[in-house]
Amino acid sequence: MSTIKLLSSDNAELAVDKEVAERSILIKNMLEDVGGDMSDQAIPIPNVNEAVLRKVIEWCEHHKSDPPPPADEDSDSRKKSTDIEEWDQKFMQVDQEMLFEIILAANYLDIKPLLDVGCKTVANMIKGKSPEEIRKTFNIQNDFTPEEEDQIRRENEWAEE
Amino acid sequence: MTFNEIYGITPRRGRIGDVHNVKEFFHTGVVVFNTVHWQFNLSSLPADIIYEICERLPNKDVLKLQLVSKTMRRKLSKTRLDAIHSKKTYYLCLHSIKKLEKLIRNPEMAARVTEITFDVATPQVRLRSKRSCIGEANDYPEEARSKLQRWSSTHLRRQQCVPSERRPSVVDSEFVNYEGTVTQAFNLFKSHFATGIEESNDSENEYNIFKHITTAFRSLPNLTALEFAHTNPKMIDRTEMLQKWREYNDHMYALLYIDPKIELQTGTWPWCSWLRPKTPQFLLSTACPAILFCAAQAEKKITQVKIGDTCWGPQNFGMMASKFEPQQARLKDGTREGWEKAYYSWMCRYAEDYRATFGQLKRFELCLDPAEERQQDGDPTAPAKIRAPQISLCLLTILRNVEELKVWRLRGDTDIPSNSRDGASGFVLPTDTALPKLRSLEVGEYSGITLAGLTAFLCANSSSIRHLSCDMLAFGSQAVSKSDVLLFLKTMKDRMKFETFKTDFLVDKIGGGAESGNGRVGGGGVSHVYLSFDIKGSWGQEDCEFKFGVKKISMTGEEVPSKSYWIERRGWEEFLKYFSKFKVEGFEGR
Repeated sequence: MSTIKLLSSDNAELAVDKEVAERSILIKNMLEDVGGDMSDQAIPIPNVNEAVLRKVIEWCEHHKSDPPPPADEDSDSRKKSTDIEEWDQKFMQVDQEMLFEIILAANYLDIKPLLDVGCKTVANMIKGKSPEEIRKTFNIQNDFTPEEEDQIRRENEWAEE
Repeated sequence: MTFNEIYGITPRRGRIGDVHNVKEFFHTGVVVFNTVHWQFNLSSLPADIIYEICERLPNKDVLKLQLVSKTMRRKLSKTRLDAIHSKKTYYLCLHSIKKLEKLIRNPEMAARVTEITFDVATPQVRLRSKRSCIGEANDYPEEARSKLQRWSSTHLRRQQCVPSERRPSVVDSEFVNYEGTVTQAFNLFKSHFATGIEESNDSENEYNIFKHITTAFRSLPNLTALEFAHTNPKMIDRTEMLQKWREYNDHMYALLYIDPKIELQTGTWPWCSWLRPKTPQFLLSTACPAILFCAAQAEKKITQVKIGDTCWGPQNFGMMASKFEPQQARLKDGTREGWEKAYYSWMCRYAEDYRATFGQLKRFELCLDPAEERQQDGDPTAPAKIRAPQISLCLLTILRNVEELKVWRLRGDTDIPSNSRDGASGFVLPTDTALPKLRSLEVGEYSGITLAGLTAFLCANSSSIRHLSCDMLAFGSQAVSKSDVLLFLKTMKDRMKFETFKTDFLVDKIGGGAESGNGRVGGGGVSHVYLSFDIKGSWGQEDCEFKFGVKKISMTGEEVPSKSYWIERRGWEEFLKYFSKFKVEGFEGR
């Protein structure tokens, strides 16, 4: 099995199986563009630092044998469910900064199933919470005036009817 | 050339910059970094990621996100928020319809509504018999048993704190064993159900709902789409379920919300199997015609009639092509004696309303009842002969200007042999029905059509139909011969002007002791072999793409990929040349 090297934004070189790295559609396309032989030079991943890249590789290694994600027409039902596999749940038990970085890295590297797990994790953190609880959970400052807040609330009440 | 030179990348230290550059990189291969300092909280995520998160959230949580901060609100998808305001769902019960009435009192909000889904399911639940509940509880796993015991004793303690005259009579003594706990829990459920106030079920009340709907429709100036669904109220997540219970089963809500620790850590509620949705007041077959009549009476312009999310329960049946006028109108205007006269009189009275309301109908989804197809003539001991139902004039009037039609049946009988259908029952509508604007026809599962019936209907509408799609179960379980398929395709080539054509024909059945196309008989399950066509372009053009192939479907309904393949040919002549020699298992020589 061939190995390739990935270069993180903080200049750390990580060796990874090509098959594992190709869970990223971005890397897969890059490798195809350069003819597949990248044994002598590292592929720069300038938007992802070492710690995040290691986490992403860990996820890709665990899921290297997964079947490809379903076609677009099925993705709606996939999104509707917020069920997360047990291993993925544990994998996502990280601080919020890391969680968001993993999501951004998954988006950048085009790893849809990882993006899906990350977004589901955040969605589960939001579900059923009040706006105040969401603010507390994610450390967000309320910058609405009471009048603005009241107006949105009134509109929301109609939507929920 | 190095990798960086190819991609024009200058690696640099630091965190992720503006994520929109990721897209730019992906599409153009050029990365432009900036030095934005990344604040890691939810609202600092880029809008496209927030969109992805919201895609995994129910509407009410997306609405709440609007209230978190100005930045968050700005990043929420406007399309999603508009959709929340424009699409409404109501149960067919007075309590739910009153919400619609409340909405129309606000003209600004009413003007935003473009689509309404009517769910024929009832949100109210009932308790199953003591015997079945206790029988099930005896099979609960250990974790569930201990939770149930704890939950019961919490409630028992709570009740003992309530003054005796207000306390429901549930237990006479404290139970210690599991069997006693189960009985106690059941009695708790039962006593709470006894406090629930039931809505009246009389028929006058039923039909009143439609009067309310008609009135409400008149105040919805932009309503153009109607959808019908039959969801299962138990198949929703816990939070939503509790909300539904608060609204429609408040006695249950009180019981479980006080101490929600009844559920298992996995989030499952084994004792939810003690509850069943109540029998709905309306079925699709009664609700859909009645509401379409409401739309006609309210002088709406309806462009879409769809069938939405459905979890078909035993009481849920499809629409009846022969009875598409609303039941309440028939009851009012017709009598058993001279029904036909009354029916035509009713049609004459309302036909113009239907024409005006459905004159610009773009899409209609017709989900038919399987039972209607199985009507037999005369002697019940004689072999089944399928009689085409008389199609409702009302339905034909609605469909007159439809552009896209989708038809299917619910759990149809695929075993009805084609030769037992009379000439007119080879299609779901009379085969000579002319629908002058029909451009797209989708024939779904269990439609029970025949090749001859489909051919006749297509030929009757050859000047308009450009797109055809038939599900593999559309034709039932009768295998067709190669010469039949070829004749059908040649007729289509001569008579139709298709732009897309997607159809599966059953050509062989293998195994299971069933008669096979080539006369082979096997043991075990039956696999079906389908000949599939996916044709894109004008059939007369040389560049028309003829894709055809073989699909083998196992007895469990799964496609067997190793036994499936596709072949592609360009132009009719080349396709015909190849197809004449094409061999399919059991297909050749028939």
